[in-house]
Parts: sequence; structure tokens; C-alpha cells
Amino acid sequence: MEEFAHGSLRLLAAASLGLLAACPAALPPASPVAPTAPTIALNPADPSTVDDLTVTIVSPSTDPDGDFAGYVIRWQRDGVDVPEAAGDTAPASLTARDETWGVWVRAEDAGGLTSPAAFAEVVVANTVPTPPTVAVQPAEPTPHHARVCVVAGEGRDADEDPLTYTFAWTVDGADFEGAETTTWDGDTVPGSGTEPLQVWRCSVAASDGTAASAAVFATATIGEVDTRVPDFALPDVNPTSLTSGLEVSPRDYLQKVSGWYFGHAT
Amino acid sequence: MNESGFDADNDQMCDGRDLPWLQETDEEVWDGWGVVYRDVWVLDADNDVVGVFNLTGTSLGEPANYAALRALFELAAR
Repeated sequence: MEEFAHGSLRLLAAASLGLLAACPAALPPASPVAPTAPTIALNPADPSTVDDLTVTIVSPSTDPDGDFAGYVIRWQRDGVDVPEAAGDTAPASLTARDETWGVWVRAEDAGGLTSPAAFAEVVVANTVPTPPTVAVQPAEPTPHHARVCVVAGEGRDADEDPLTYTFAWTVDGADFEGAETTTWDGDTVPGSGTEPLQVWRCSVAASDGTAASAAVFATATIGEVDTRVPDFALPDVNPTSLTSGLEVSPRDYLQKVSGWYFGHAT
Repeated sequence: MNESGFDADNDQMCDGRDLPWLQETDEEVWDGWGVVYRDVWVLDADNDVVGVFNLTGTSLGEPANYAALRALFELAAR
């Protein structure tokens, strides 16, 4: 059993652990006797980075001298003392994934005699990220419009790992494999080849590289056929035109009749 | 609208004309709309296509052709 290093955190924690009364009184023997070692547990047994680590006394120390004073608790991260962790709890803010946290607890009596140290340790596991919030845009697509599943709100990862997102689409309940990319791989369904009244659903999960969040969903129903021509915006290169140098779009002529000639200057 | 790749003589095309002359860029309108060389697309106030009139072999110098195209515009205006 490891001995406590000189200068390690000394904390008489009996009061906070509420265990003074649990130590049976005994008549002092002729010569001082050290208290017995407690039995401890470190909880939770499988922590992640969002969990505080707490040591509890399973079986309290006994002190034949009857002068039990309290417990001295020392926390270690990967074998190195962590003075910031005081008392029976190491807060989650001090932990990170894949770290091994150990805690040493020994009893001390009023005469300075100490018990052998009890030890427990746990490994801090990865925390699964939270899912993002998603939406399909446009919300009311037509067959002329691509649909993009956008991450409206990022997922969160307590480990601060960078997140990526995986997308899957279904159309009327059947898997769709032809998704394209706008921001994330597979976040876009092209406007071509879709039919009115189809229901498209995208599911998105956040991944920290180790674990993925639960999937979240967004849906959009294709509206009736849009007979409008696809929009564009092209520069007017005629120096004597009223819109010379400006970008011109068919949508500039909504509420008007317009004619569009397609030719070659050359 | 001038198709991409045929812009060498835009100045000559615009000379003496004050209608907009749009130059197709990376935005591939021709393919997106499915147009054919020398098409005239007539759109109504909702940007819906009322009709397409192709000028290849149908000169507007011919009164009947001119009237047919004009009829498309009139139809779009109803």
C-alpha cells in the first residue's frame, strides 16, 4: 500500500463524512494504537467527464484508543497528486477522458497515528456528445429545389472533442442513397428527380470520433410542381442597357411578362 | 442571354441595342433550363413558362412568325 507523501493534502474529513459517531468508543490501551483502515468506494464506477467523483466510506475505521480524529483524503490523476481536489469529491471540471483517478483514504487519530491507506481508482470514459438540432431547408421545397439538412444548433461534447455529423435520408420511408454535399457529406438531396408530395426525412447524429449521439430528425414534404423557371442571376454586359453592369434575374420580372432570348454573340 | 464561351463579340452584339445582354458564367442556365440555341422563352408574371419560340428557320421578318411570337407575349399578359 502506498504511503502518503510528505506535504500531501491533509483533511480531517470525519465531520463532512459524518462518521465520527460511527467510530466505536473504546478504553484507551496502555500504549497508543493506530486506527484501522477504512473500506472505501469510488463512485461512479464508470464515470464520464460530466461526473463528479465521490469517495464514500463503506466500512469505517475503528480506533481502539477511542481518539479517532478523521480521514485524510488524497486524490491522484494518473498517479500525480491533485491538490485542487479537496474532500470527498473530485469535481468533473478537473477530469478528462482516459484519465485514471485514484483516491487514498486513511484514518487518523488525535495522536497523529494513521491507519493503512485504503485505495480505489476509476478510469474516466469518453462522454457521448449531445445531438444537434436540425432542419430541412427550404421548409416547403418544390421539385425544382434541392433540400439541405442544416445543423441549426451544434451538438455539444463535454470532452471538447471536435464534432462531425452524419446524415441519412429517406423518401417516403425508403432509404435514399444519392445525397450530395453542401456543408457536410450527404446533407443535400438534389432537386432533380423528386416528385410532389414526397416526404423526405433526414436524420443527423453528432460524433466525437469515438461515440455518436442519438439521431435527430427533420422532415419536409415536397409541394406541388413548381412551374416557375429556375432562378439565376447573370451580369448584363450591354453598356447601353438600363441594367448595365448589374446582375439580372428572372425574379426581377415577377409581376411582369418577360422574354428571354438565348443566342451566341460570336 | 449569351451562352458561356461565345462572348468574344459581345460588343458587336450590343452595338446599337439597349436591351440587357446577359453573359452566362459558371451558372449554367442553358443546361438548367434546357434551352436550345436561339430559343425565346416567354414567362408570365409568375415566372411560369407560357411558351418557347425558336428562331432558327423562323425569321421574325416573316409576319406570321412575328405574330406567333407576339401572341405568346399577349397570352402571358392575360
